Amino acid sequence: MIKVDKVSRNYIAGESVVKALKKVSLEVGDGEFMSIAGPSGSGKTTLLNLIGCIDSLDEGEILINGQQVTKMNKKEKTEFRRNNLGFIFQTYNLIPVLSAYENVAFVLSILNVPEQEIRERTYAVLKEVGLEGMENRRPSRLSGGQQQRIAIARALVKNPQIILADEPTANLDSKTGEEILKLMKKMNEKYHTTFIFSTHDQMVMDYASRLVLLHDGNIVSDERR
Amino acid sequence: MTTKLPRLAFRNIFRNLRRSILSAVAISVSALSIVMLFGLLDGMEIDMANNLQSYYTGEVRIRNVDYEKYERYNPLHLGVDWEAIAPILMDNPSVESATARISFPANMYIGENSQVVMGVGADFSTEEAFIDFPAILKEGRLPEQGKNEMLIGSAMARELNLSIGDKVTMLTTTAARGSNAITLQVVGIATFPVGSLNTNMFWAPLDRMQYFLRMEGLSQEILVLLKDGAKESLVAQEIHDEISQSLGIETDTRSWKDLNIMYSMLRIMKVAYYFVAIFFFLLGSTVIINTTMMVIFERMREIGTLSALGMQGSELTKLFLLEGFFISVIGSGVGVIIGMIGNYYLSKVGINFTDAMSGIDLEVSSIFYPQVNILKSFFIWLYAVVISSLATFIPSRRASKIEPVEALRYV
Repeated sequence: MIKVDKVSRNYIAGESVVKALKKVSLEVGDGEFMSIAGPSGSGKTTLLNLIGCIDSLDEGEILINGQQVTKMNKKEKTEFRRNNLGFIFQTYNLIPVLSAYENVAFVLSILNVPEQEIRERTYAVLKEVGLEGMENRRPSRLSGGQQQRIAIARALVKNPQIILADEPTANLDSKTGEEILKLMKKMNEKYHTTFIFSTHDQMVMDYASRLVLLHDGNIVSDERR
Repeated sequence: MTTKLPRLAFRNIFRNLRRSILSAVAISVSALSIVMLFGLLDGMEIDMANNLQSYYTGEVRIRNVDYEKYERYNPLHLGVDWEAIAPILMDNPSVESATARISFPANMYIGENSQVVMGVGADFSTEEAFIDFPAILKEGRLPEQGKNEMLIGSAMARELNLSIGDKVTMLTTTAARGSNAITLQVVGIATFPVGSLNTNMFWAPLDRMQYFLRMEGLSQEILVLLKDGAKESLVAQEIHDEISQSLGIETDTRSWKDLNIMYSMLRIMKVAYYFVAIFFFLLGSTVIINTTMMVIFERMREIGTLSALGMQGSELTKLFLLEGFFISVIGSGVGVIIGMIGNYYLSKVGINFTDAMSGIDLEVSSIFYPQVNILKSFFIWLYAVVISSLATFIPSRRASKIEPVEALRYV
């Protein structure tokens, strides 16, 4: 369970202060498939980054499973991300010198999972995202959709409670984007993992079981479907 | 995590191979220079030690206790009794061999011209242990005891147009402070390794020089060679005490290391060069530092991703440190190997400094033969790796300070 309580985040841009989030409050239950939507500059990525413990807020607090993550120091936040969160990025952000297998296995090696278990879990998750037989290919030899599948596998492999995806289909064509969404939905249903993704793509919003709309740093609607 | 990081770091160095090669070359050139410099210094040290022991002081030198005080007056009357001291030396278990010499300045007359030269009266039978005469003798033979003969350096023969059979007259001041002259016949021409020995020194039989210099039974100095493993300073003290007890005379008996300032300076210089090496490696490391800084900016998003995935700052630092470490290991390894090959080649052919050293009165040979020292080369490699890796630590630490949100936003 995620609780965002009166969270504000300001950025300094030259001499002016940009209020990216204005006392935003939100609760996300376990296993939700939630989309944060809104136009550019509405604060959706900022909210996602704050929930993902990769940014610091100016006001308010965020609790994830009862843990007040906003009070954590940098090291504790990293440790928390390592154990509890998965990330999917718009530009995939795979490590180019590692193969598909190694990109996924790397996350488990950070967690000091035994080598045999890493192998089993990595092959299993790659099979699940439809990349069986492509384990040894480097990202440069895969299509955008395939690279995003690796990113999903990388996020899923450590069985996190929450996966945060920042515009996961923005760099993909609509057909591949839909495939990726179906895959994420399937994983959400199968593993009951909470998915929170930011988007301004209508198709992505249609797939979400909950749609939170942000505008100028405020939540303007919160619709459950 | 222990195995993945090195693998990732190793692969990362191939991402921009040309830049990694450039970094490796910088540290390689530094390592190569230091290996060759140390090889040259080692060669110079060994060469100087050999020359000093063979031609100048032996391993232990015995002189009259007052000789040094009046040395500038050429006090030949302050000699040492070779006949009396030789048995004492032979009884010492650390002594391998000994020889007596008289060194003196003289005017050499050839026709109407004269030249100041240095003469050495030596017993060629006992000198064999000190000087490998067959190896340096280029023409003729060694002078014989009881004959007015001399051996000269090849440079002197060339410059004064002397050849085997020529006779020259020497004029000098004797131990009795009078003047005396002797005519000596050139019977041998040798190429001495040290420039000054080659250009202005002649060697004649000890007994004839004792007669010529009015030093019957005396020599100016006694040179001693020791058995392997003997400590020069300790044996010098032992010999001093034994002579003092047996003959009741005080002598100036010192080890060659205590006598030769240049050799001590060379050894100090070598220590100083270890510090110079640090600067060489730091200089070479600047390219790695620069590369690491550039790499950190280039991979900013990747750093953000790794951090978001849960990699701690210390692990990110380690990743970049390992990249610098691998470049250092490869670069300095290549440099050290090339340096060793270079030293090996030069140790066979030598480096000829004859022209550069003409006029320099130094106890080193005109041709240097660098030494190949595997253990020292290994330490230089290790030294280079440690210094350049430590230097890489500075920019690598930056990676740990980057905020993931800023890194992910970085374009």
